[in-house]
Amino acid sequence: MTMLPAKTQKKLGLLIDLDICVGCHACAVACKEWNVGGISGPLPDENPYGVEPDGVWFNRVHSYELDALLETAQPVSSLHFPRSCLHCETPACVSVCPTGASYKRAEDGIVLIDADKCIGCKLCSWACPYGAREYSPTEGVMKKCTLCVDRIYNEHIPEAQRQPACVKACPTRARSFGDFADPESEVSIKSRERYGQALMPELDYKPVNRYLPSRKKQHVCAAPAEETLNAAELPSALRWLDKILSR
Amino acid sequence: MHPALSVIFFSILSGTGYGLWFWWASSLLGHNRDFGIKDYITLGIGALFVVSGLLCSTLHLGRKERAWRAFSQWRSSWLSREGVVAVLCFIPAVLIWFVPQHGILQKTLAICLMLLCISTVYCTAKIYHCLKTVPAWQHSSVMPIFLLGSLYTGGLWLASIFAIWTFAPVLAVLAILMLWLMTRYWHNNDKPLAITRSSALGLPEQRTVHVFENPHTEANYITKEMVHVLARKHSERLRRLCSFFGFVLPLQACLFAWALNQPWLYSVAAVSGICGIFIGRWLFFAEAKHVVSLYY
Repeated sequence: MTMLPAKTQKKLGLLIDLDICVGCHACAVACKEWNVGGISGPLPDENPYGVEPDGVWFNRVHSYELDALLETAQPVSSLHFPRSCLHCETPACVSVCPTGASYKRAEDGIVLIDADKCIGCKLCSWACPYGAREYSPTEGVMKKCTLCVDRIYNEHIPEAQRQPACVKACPTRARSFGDFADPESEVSIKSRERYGQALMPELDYKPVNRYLPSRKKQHVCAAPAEETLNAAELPSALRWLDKILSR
Repeated sequence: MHPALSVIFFSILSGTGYGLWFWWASSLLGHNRDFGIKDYITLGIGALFVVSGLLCSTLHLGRKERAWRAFSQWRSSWLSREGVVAVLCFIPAVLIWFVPQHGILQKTLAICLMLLCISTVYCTAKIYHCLKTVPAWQHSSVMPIFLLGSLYTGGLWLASIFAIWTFAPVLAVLAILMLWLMTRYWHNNDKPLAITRSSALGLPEQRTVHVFENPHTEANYITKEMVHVLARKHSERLRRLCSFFGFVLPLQACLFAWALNQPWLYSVAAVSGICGIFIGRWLFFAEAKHVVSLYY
């Protein structure tokens, strides 16, 4: 049923630290590797070695350039931005689904697709502002991040491994996983302390995942000063040399 | 947005069909006339439009054999509601032939058919109007464009079949209203997105951001479906073509049909109108900007 649960017991989600993400795409690759064989697998690639390769990924890492901010003396910097499903509290992708294939779990808030019910109408991908849902032309159904539901509850793997594949793979620990409904969870505390941001909050889909903004740079190295050469102040020999070289 | 032909044909063909049924049903209310050949033709052409439109809407589905599942989520999904009401329309449309003519039952069924036809088009429009991710579709002109558009094209076809010259003023008013609404919609569509890239990235508003590198070198599903940019180049010309063939030419044709008593001009208006609306509907999808484009 695509009616949303009034309240979920947990709000499982990801906390992504944009200050330390280096844009290595390890999360995206690990996600693809796990999910190609996971419950929502396969994640098909079309024409992978051809001219126009195409394929379904749950994680996409964008890189941006931020201009310097003069008011607070912030330097020019890069921003690496991993984009995936935010497991919204009121996801429009679920309520627009005509078949009931899309649903939000009442127990932990994970948004999933039942691939056996999906008709591939693509309307959910139109309803998602974050581009989290992609269409698999080989199976004719929609695909999305499962928050590795087949890892986090999986009793066949060691307890330390029961984390989403993207979180386990991140070499800089920019990603963490936890319950945002519990105010004392690590993700909630970190998010509170560092002003975790919800994306496009004005759309009111109440995304669960939070992004930690870059820390304010304290000791900004000044830009190299413009070279000024006042020939009149030079000693006479150098003034003569300047005159010769300036010809 | 990617302008999928199946969705464009669906919304125009079924919209016209329901509009045609609406006017035909309304014609049963006013005066008592016996069903003639023209009534059979009208209901038949309406059904042809509606059924071919509904079939078109399944063309872009990945799993057509499961399309029946789309009737199940009417409690939350406008797409599902649209499917349910679209099928319900056939109940009064069929029953109306089997009840005594001029009776109260026939009039009741006609009213049911009118309400269901309008509800179907309302649901179709709501599928797009409810998407906050495409701000252009949230504009106040979208619902009237779909509803009046359906009555307009349906009315043009009804006028062609019945050759009723008194219908021209209604159609003329609809054509002018539609042109006004479309102009308002286009004007609104030209505005940049109200949501910024900074908001999409969780950055403070004053930070200026440029794309340095995209996640993928080739196009992917998201860019093909939602970051479509084909229409912008020819948008002005296409809007003029839509205005002329959709509304200006049919308006003149209707007025001449009325003034000169030349009902065949209604057919010109009907064909031209549906072509113009087609261009307009294509632009409706192709020009609309999805907020996910902020990431690219």
